[in-house]
Amino acid sequence: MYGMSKLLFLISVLGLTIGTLSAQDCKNFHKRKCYGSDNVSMMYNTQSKSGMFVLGHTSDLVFVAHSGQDYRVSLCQDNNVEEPIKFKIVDSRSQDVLFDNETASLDVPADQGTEGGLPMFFEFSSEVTKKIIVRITAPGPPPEEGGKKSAQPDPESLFCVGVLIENMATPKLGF
Amino acid sequence: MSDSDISVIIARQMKKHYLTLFATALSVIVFTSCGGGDNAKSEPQEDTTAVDTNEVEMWGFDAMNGSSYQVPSPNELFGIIKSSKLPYKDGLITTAQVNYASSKTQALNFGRLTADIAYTASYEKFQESISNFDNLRKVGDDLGISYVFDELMVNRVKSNMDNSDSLEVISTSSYQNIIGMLEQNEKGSTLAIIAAGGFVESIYILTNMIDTYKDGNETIQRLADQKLVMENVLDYLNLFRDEDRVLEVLTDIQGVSDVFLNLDEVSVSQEVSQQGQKTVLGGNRIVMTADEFNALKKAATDYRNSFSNPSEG
Repeated sequence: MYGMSKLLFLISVLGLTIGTLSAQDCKNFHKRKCYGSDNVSMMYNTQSKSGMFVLGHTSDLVFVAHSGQDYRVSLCQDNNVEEPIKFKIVDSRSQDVLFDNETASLDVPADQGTEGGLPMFFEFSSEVTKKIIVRITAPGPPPEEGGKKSAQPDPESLFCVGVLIENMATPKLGF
Repeated sequence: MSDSDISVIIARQMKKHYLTLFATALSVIVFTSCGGGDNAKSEPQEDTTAVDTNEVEMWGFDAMNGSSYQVPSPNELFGIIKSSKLPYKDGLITTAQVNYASSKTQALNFGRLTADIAYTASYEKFQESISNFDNLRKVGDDLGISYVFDELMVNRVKSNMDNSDSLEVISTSSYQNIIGMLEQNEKGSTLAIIAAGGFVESIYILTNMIDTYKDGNETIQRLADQKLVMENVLDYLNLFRDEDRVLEVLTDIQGVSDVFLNLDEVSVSQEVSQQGQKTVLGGNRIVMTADEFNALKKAATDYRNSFSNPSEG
């Protein structure tokens, strides 16, 4: 009986220990990997976040942009995925697509804020306070039902994606 | 991330799935047989286990349905309010140290204190900021998240609180560190309640800083704009509504959310336009009447007082 209790105790401790270690591997990825703005007035916004994606998966990050502020949304991904992620900036009210990195013209240097020929950032000035959806789609076919981990995706199809949000007061023009 | 790293993650998650289920079942047996089920301190542990089990089920941004609802920090709001030249108002917040019994009130008050610090820091009130930072650490200890205050952060805060230039920056970076640590440790539902507490406190402070409603006032507009933050707070809480304490917060916050969700919106400009090289996003503006302002002030004050009062804990 004592041996059984000891075994149960060890297994529960092991379970709790493993529980505290897992599912953290992409945390703060955006702080380490995303190209931020060169503008020193741009400050880190706490609505930034990272997540672990499986190939083909789509996920939304919904944030609030205050009026009278300039924003830069920068995305980054693990180097081991050759194809770039696609992202859209969507107005949460109208559901209109405000920006799509697949169709956007590329007018930034190839080594800064781009991935596989696609722009990986979007800059805007917010005239009114808006709720913005950053809709990210990882390359590849959609994963199995609901993105449940029980679907056991191929380890090679997992990778980190970061969304770095920066903001500053919109500069006033003129006197 | 290398292939071997990913394989380790998968293996860990598989182990976790089964072992967490087992550990949960074992915890139930242990707590029941020890008669410890009504001990207040056991509540957060049970909550945490439930969150862990749910949170690791999905890819993307760790949320149940693949979406993540972000809530701006109180520092962001008060940083903007400061520029509107609205004067600091004495007596709105307290620096008294109090004890809260349940994990729900501890998390709500942790959020309340982050908003209080953001408010006092943005107006360079050193003593109030230091006192409430100590109170924040105390509530953090009670909540079982003392690890978010590393020694470096505490020393940095204490040694720079008398420097007006750095006070606001330190308040903001401390908030970032705390939120980052809680995210890292998968405290999803606790974070959602903290966000709700911080949001309600921000609205309480802001509505009480404004003496009387004025049509077209910039600060009233800022306040009305918080409708969008309210929506994200509700969406964030709803991800964890299976937890009793989250459901209670969703019910209790309804006085505030009802006012916000009923505010009208009017279209004021094009959704997207170009001004030179710059992309400008416009669209709807949220409108708040005097009656709605007064109703919001009352609802935010009532709810805030209900959870900040330790007798309610």
